[in-house]
Amino acid sequence: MEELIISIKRAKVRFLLMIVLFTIVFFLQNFIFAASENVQSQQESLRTMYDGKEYFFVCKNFEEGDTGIFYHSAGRLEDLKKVHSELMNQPFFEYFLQIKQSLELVEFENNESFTVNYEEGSENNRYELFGQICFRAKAYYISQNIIDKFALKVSSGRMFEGEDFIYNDNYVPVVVGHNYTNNFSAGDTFQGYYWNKSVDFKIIGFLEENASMLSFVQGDPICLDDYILVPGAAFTDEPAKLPDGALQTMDERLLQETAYTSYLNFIITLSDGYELNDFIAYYDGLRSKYNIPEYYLAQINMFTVKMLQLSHTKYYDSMLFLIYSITLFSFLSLCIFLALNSLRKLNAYYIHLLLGAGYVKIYGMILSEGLFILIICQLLSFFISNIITGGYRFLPAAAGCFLFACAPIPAMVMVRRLTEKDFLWRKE
Amino acid sequence: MEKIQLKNIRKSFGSGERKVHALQGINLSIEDGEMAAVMGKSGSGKSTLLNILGGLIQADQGTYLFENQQINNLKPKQLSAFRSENIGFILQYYALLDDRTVFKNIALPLKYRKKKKSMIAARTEELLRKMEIYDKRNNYPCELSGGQCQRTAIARALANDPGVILADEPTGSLDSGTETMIMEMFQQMNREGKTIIIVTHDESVARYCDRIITIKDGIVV
Repeated sequence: MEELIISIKRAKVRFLLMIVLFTIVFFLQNFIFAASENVQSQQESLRTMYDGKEYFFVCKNFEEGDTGIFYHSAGRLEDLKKVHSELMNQPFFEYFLQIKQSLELVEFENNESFTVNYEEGSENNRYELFGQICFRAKAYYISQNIIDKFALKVSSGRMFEGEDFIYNDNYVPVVVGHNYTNNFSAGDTFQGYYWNKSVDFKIIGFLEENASMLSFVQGDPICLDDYILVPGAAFTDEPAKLPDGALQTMDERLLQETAYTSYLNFIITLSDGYELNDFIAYYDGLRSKYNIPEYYLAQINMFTVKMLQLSHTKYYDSMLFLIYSITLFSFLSLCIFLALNSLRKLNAYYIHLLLGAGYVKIYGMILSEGLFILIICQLLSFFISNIITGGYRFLPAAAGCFLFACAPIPAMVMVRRLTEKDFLWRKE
Repeated sequence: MEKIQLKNIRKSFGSGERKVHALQGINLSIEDGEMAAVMGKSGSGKSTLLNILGGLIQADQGTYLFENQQINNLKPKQLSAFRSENIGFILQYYALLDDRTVFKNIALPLKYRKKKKSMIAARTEELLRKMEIYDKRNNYPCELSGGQCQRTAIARALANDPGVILADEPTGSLDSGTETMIMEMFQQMNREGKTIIIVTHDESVARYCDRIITIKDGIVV
């Protein structure tokens, strides 16, 4: 310790410069590492959005006048239920439901970002409902496999389970985006319309921050922080069997028909070994069997996701390159600094050896200089990182410490060689 | 009784065409309590011999016995312990640590032997008084005269009470008056039982010694 203090006193400016340099280096390392983590998680999310498969959008296409005939045909609801069931359970393709449809929420503080079309600068769509001011909130109706497809996870509460996709008359479970955590808790309910029926929505969980999925219709990734996920539920009860006396704002049959008709707008990805013609033949057969109207089929454009993936990969690679470069540069700087400092102190080391110090003691002196710089700079960068970025990543700090603890090795080897050879011939 | 025995000691530095054979088969015995001068021209191998005797470097070949204990097979840690216990070094340019006071310079060998603080202070003060530099104990080497520096170096060499003092040109940078004083100190140490080996090319220094060992081209002549 005494030797370290003497060394610092003798080379105050050099030590100060090294401390400034390494504090900046460690801060940058931490900052870039944190940014690269974000990019990595976005990359991970993008990977779930584009897995190399082709996706197709299938949408019902009513001719003029079809709507009335379609809805009011006898046995229509039963046909729709059977179609839905068959679509969900066949080997040709995977069926996804993802419908962007707003929900009504009672107004709460700072709720602008949750409003439908907020990004586009929506008109004020607030209105009074049962004596309360409501607004239309952004929401997606989804099938259960959307959760697995985009690896959506909750930070609190729970994610949808199988039974949440079967309608019950008590409440409709919803999972809400991360930004709702400021205003709601798991278990809270709010009133709104589920396929045009007034229901209670119950919050069962909150999505992780920055949870996102691909909007199949738009072809863009959507951050779900401001969204509500609503299950595209199946209706097991017949409308006639619903409890009597319940307050119903519309016909139960129409509710179910609306839902199942909406489920005719869906996304598919073909199973291995099947081609698009197989789907067309299958679906045409199904339509013919159950009198389903015309439809159109479009391949979903993945250009944006592909480009985002590419740019993220490049961005991430650049960040890694930057981290490695900074680390290598600073590691070499510390090696050189310690080696030069040891060269300057070679006579002193020789004297210590004369007086009975072993090489371990000399190595300890060199190591303590490196560790001193390392510890001071890590502490400073810890405080600076917390102030500027609000966090500190211990993984790069630990990796940095391990690497930089090796920086005195060249100086140690050099001192050993010089004291054993050249220095023995030197005189002050 | 033989304090030191060297048998066919060889040491070379470098490799290939740049290889220098510093010692080419040194055979030498130093008696306990002897005061010997090692003389020779520059590059004759005097300093290399001194470094081998002091356990600072190992010989490439040959046997080094110190009080009949073989030194040239000791591990680095044992070698530094050997140095600390048995050898005191005195060099031409004093080899004092500039950034430590006279007191701390003298105390350092005791510290390396892990002596108690009170013992270190007592022994250092004793040596400061003996070398008549007590009033300079808080001064730094740059504030001392050449003679005072060398007396500090001698005090430091004696700190652990070693059996052997190795001196490399101890009066090389002193005026003749101070040289006499320092050499008398060496004689006094010798009378007190220390074995002293002085490397020098100054015959007036060698005259203080019991024996003169001459080295030429890495061998004793």
